[in-house]
Amino acid sequence: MQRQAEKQLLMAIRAGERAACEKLVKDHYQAVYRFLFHLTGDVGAADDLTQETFAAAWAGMADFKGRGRITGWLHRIAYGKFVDAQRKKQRHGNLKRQLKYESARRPDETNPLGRLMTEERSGVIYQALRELSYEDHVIIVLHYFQDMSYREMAAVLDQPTGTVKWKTSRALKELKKILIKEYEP
Amino acid sequence: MKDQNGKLPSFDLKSLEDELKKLPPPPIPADLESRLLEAIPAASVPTAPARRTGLLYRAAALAAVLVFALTALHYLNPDRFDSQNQAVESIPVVRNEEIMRTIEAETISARLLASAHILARQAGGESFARDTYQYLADFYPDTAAGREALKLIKN
Repeated sequence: MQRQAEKQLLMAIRAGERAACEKLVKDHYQAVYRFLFHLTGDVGAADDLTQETFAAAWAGMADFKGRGRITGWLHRIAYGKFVDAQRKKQRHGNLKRQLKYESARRPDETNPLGRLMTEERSGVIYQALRELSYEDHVIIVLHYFQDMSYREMAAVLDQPTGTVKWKTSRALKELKKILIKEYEP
Repeated sequence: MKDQNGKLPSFDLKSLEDELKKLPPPPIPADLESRLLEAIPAASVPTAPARRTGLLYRAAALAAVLVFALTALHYLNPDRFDSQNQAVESIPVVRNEEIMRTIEAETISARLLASAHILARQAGGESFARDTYQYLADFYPDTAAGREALKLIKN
């Protein structure tokens, strides 16, 4: 039913209906922003990348086959935008190590959101998330914050569903390890 | 490190999963939606025709390319007028109606010949068979059956 509605929405967008384009934005921009915020830990970067994601979505609308869900497609674009942004920041060395370094930094505590994230227990978990490897962090964000199924995650990450499932379990165990270490007296 | 209640938390995997799901989402910038709506392209979203990957589509596309290539070769050939005239003079034109007529004649005569052969083996059917052979030789002389019937009459 939902797939059918999405196909109709895509047809309307391709027919140039502005109302359909607006619906796509309204339905999905929050999820895309949150995904990018969790990845970047930065309000401004998440904002910019969300806009870039939707610009790329309009440009690539013709290439979207409609086989998967729109949300997965947008997350895939957003993820690509995030990786591109990181590459631009650091052109040398190992990308994975750099991304881990980027995501390990503390949230900006000078803005209200940064303060919220460092508060109490949720702050501890957010901080632990940023100490995860880049790959584990992305997986936890997709599955637990973006509420994606393993199949949807597989489409975003371009990996087999079984692998994604296994990696999710591994990421959760890693997060647990970090939290236990953090809580040690 | 102790939590806000002064207790060491227990992070078993299930409770950790629950906790992750309950974490407050980051607030969304107030004007982000309006900025994204403004950025929707004014013109229609660029579209491409739906890709047809079916066998029929590919065959039709290939045929179209072949027709185009052959037509182009034909029109680019500087001697096409001369060769066209020669072709008209040298190659006999077999019209469609003639082909159909020939096929029809061969079919009918072959059936008649087969019927005559069957009758010839029946008691009392020989004279009827002979008349049929004669009929074939007279009216279908250019067919394979007519030629065979003529041979049978002569023998």
